[in-house]
Amino acid sequence: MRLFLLELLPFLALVSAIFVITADNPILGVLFLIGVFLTVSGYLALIGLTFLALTYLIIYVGAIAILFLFVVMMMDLNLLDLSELPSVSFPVAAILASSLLASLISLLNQCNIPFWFDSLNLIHLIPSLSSTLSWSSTFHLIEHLHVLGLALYVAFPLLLIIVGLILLLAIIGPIVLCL
Amino acid sequence: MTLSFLDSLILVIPLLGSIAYLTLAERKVMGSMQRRLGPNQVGSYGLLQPLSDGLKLLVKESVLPSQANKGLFYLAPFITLTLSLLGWIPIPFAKASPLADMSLGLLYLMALSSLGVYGVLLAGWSANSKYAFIGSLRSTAQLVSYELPFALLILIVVIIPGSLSLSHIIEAQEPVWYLVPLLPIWVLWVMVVVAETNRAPFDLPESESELVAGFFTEHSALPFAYFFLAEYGSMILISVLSSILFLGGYLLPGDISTSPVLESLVLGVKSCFLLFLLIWIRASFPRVRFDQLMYLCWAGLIPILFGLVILVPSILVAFDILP
Amino acid sequence: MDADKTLRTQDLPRTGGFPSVRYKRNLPKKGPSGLVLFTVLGAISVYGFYRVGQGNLEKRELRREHLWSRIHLVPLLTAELDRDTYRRNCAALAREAEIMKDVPGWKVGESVYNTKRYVGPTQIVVPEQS
Repeated sequence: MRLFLLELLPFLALVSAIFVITADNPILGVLFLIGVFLTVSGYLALIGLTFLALTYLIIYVGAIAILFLFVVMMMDLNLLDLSELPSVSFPVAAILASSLLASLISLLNQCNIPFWFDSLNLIHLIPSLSSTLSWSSTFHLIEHLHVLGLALYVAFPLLLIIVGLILLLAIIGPIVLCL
Repeated sequence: MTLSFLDSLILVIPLLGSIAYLTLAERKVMGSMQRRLGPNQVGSYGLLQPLSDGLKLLVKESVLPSQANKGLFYLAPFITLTLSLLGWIPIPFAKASPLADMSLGLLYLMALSSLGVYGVLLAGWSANSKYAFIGSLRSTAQLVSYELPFALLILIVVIIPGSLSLSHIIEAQEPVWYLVPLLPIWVLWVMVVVAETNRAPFDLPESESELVAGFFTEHSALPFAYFFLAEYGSMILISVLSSILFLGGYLLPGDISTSPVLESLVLGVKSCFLLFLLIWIRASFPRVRFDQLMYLCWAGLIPILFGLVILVPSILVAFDILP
Repeated sequence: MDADKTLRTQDLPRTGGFPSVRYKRNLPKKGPSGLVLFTVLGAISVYGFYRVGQGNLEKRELRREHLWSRIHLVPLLTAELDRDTYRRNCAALAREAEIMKDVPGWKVGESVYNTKRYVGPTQIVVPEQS
């Protein structure tokens, strides 16, 4: 079941993303965007990043998509007709998309990530890591939230302060703009 | 432990019964506060009134406006009720027996309250009526705005036990209930709870159904019943959550040996106090205007909560009593 | 004569006039003053945080005890895992010997790599996760 969902949810996310772009009614587009966020959140939860999954729900679905819905509902947006799009943009889109895809694939190929197949119960070990099966590394379960906290506050605190300053700028900026 | 269907039924059916009788309790209590009797005709002391209300709503014809978006119109109350019922999963009724003990239970409840805004938004928009749309936009703005003080208050309360899991929070309240160190914060929490559940005095989205319209004005009979159930269900859920976070959940003060039945009764009694408080607040205060409501949230609650979010962890760090 | 009667039964204000009406706003300050409220709530909070501190320190010690009990269990579990791994290794070698017993020149358990050092297995089978 988990394996099935692990395959199904990214597929649904891609399908929803395609529908976001090709929907003629903008409200339907935003609803499919919500579908993208929901499926990606489910996928993250299945991988084990539960805190990130719930945070996606709270922030993306619960705040950002509502913002989009407000904008789409309250503004008088014209429905877009797909056949009117000029075809000269297609080669540019193809070049951009293929370069992005190539860089993504080359980046993912460089990582030696151990992964597992649930249906076969096989674990692929990286040859250099021989302590993956030892009890000394598994007796203390550090939750995802704790790992995030350690990364933010212990490993990279200066970056956190800089990000906080950027957030402060982002909060004050719109207020000044809308005065 | 897997979530079996029977577990969910044991939770949902008494919950629906208690939601129904909460409506009767509210009417009787508000009647007593206004020096009149509540409903007392249907059964003895009006005890069959919720059943007759439910029967009326079931039998009534549900009207679909001709220009309404049919899918979203029927989806919105379904979403609202489902999310309201899903929130009961991580709540522990006795020691170590929630339906599913999540280590991020409180975050899950916050995610559900964020998702619950969609029911309101889609209901008002799909009804294709000006007043319903305005009501739903106002209600959405109110709910989304009061998410922030909600999250900040939860952050303050969660810093002390150091865990988002509801069972751990209750177990950590064994020395003292969190009402005692955080009494001013509990006052702010009650304000945010009243705003999050769209109750008076912050019930502009609902009251407009008495005056002109609200976000569920076009929904009649069964969809309206869903919204009604969802609202009172979320009221009960948030009272239970308040008693878990502040009043020690199922714990009795002192060193008394308890059984699971006694513990869940204790949780129920504490939630009843909080429900009575919510009804009392409804009967006592006049409705707040919408701009006053927004001002209260953004310029009143959030600045003081920023200060408290810095104060409470500072107290814990200063005396080295972090969890 | 009639004029006298109407004067006597005329609806006049009572003698001495009425007392003055209070029309100004009157919101009397009652209840404890701000300072009293602040100190009482502060005292309650201080007591509450004191008990919270006791509870948190106790929880810290309980967690420390929990982790140390797990640490003390690690040698036993490692020994058991080693026993199990060795048994599975021997069983795999025995299976290989059984399958390849008719093949000439086959050294059972020979390393597939060209180096002499020990290279660990890249694939292991674990029990099914529930």
